[in-house]
Amino acid sequence: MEAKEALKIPFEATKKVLRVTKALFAPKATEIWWDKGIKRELHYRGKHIINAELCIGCSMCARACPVNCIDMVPTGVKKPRAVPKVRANECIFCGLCEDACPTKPEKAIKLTDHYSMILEDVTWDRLTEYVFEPENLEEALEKAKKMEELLEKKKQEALKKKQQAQQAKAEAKKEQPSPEKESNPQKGSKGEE
Amino acid sequence: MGNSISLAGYTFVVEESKEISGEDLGLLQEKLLQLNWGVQHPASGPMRLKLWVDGDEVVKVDPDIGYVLRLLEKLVEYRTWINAVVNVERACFMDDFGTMAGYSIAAEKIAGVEVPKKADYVRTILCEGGRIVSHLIGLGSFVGVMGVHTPMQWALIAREKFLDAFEVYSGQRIATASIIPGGVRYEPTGKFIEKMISAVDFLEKEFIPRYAEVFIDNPTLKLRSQGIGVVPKEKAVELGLAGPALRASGVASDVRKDYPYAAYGELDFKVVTKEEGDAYARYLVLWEELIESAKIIRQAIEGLPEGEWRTKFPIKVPPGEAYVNVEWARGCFGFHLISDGGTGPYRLKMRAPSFANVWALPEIMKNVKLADVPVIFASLYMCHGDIDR
Repeated sequence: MEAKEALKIPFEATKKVLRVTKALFAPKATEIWWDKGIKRELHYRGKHIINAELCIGCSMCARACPVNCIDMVPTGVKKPRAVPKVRANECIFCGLCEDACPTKPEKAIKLTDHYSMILEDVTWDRLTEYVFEPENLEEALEKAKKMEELLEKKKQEALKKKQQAQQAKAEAKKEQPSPEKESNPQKGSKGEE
Repeated sequence: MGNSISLAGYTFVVEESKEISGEDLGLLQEKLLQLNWGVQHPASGPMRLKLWVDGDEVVKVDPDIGYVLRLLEKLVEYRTWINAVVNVERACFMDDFGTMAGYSIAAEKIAGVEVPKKADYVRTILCEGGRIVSHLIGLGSFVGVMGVHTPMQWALIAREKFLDAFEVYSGQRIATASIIPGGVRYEPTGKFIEKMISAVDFLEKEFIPRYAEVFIDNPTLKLRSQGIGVVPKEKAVELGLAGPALRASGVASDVRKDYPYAAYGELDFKVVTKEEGDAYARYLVLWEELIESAKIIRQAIEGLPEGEWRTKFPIKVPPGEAYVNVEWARGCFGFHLISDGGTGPYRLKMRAPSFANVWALPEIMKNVKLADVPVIFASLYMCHGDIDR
């Protein structure tokens, strides 16, 4: 038995040496990922993107947020009345705001695969100032204002039309009695006849 | 006391009373020291054990908990029915699916919502994935407290594959918030199933044979853990042990088998039990449950039905209450959920298995050697987030 075991020793040793040399030349298990622009998976919950053009200002996302980190900022236009602003320092990236958003087919508030959120000179004040705001807010507001102007124009036009119609009616009413007056004498004349 | 031990930061307190745990210690009491095992100890985690030590022997143990209290039960009262899962899942980050599934089932019971079958199967897959992830760390840390840190690294490699699968499914690796009242949040895509199968493949073909070769049936490990912290069957029930620690004492208690929830009723698996009741038996129960869980995941993926994965959950839930037990990685986790007809839970009481296990420590650790304290502590498989909540 002992002789057999002694014979086994060099075999085992070479096996182990081979294993170690294999491991030495194997590809590295770790990799540098941050400059490769790696795309994360389908549902990855990273930085928020808020589309002010799609937002209807219903504040469902603010209600769904478990840590109350979404503020609704009033815009001054009627639609959207307010847009969400996410305090990134407090956000836990649960994605429940995205679930709650009722706009279809595209959500107004979405969690993207953008994961690098780097702040320089980090102080508490800067952290609290770090927010995700709607990117196209000004355009959306201009659009909304234009839409409102258009709507107002349309309304005014409609009003004018109404007024015109009313005036026309009134005129017609004014005009109507005159033919009546004209007709009355006719009738009267008829009656006279 | 100007000796080197006190300079190293240990506090020694000579007990005033002569009697400790019913025994008159006589002259020995002058040797009795109070040792703070924990808070800074590598094996303890954020909790402290007050140990009264006589030389090398532990005379009395008093667990001191509360270092990571986060008031999760109270915080749930300020949430809506759906977003309360983010608090519930933070009971313990290792297996967050079990707690979320339990809370969701309780909420569905009150609201009278029936979950689609596909959601049940996805819940089963995720819960078993969470169990594997948790057990891997349990195995690694059990050998780790004895000073061998290689198994922990191996376990973390296998765990990483499962975390990748969770990321594909929900977008996050640990705090997934993926199981909600009314089903599951995302559709189980083909890529998720693929990743899960590859993770289970890695576990079964690479990790299990390699780990079993070295760290199971290991003579040195057996020397340190066999016959230590023995809990007989009757005593385990009396102490109220939970989970793998209870099953290692020969009690075949498993909520998955006894009161099936999700899709466990339709799947074939066995409850792992051991008769010895010592630290090594608890380690083996974890090991065999790992293999069982991999089988369950394979079965659930094969039987995954077609259809919807989420139903609508009402914003306001009628008044009522429900008590639901789920088999979490660390044992039976109970949820007592009360609704007063509002938009969120009125009260949630969580019955945690690790909290039950921690109060068995004073009984189990009587008259053991100081060097066995970390072994028993790690073998009971406790989570501090779960003890404090």
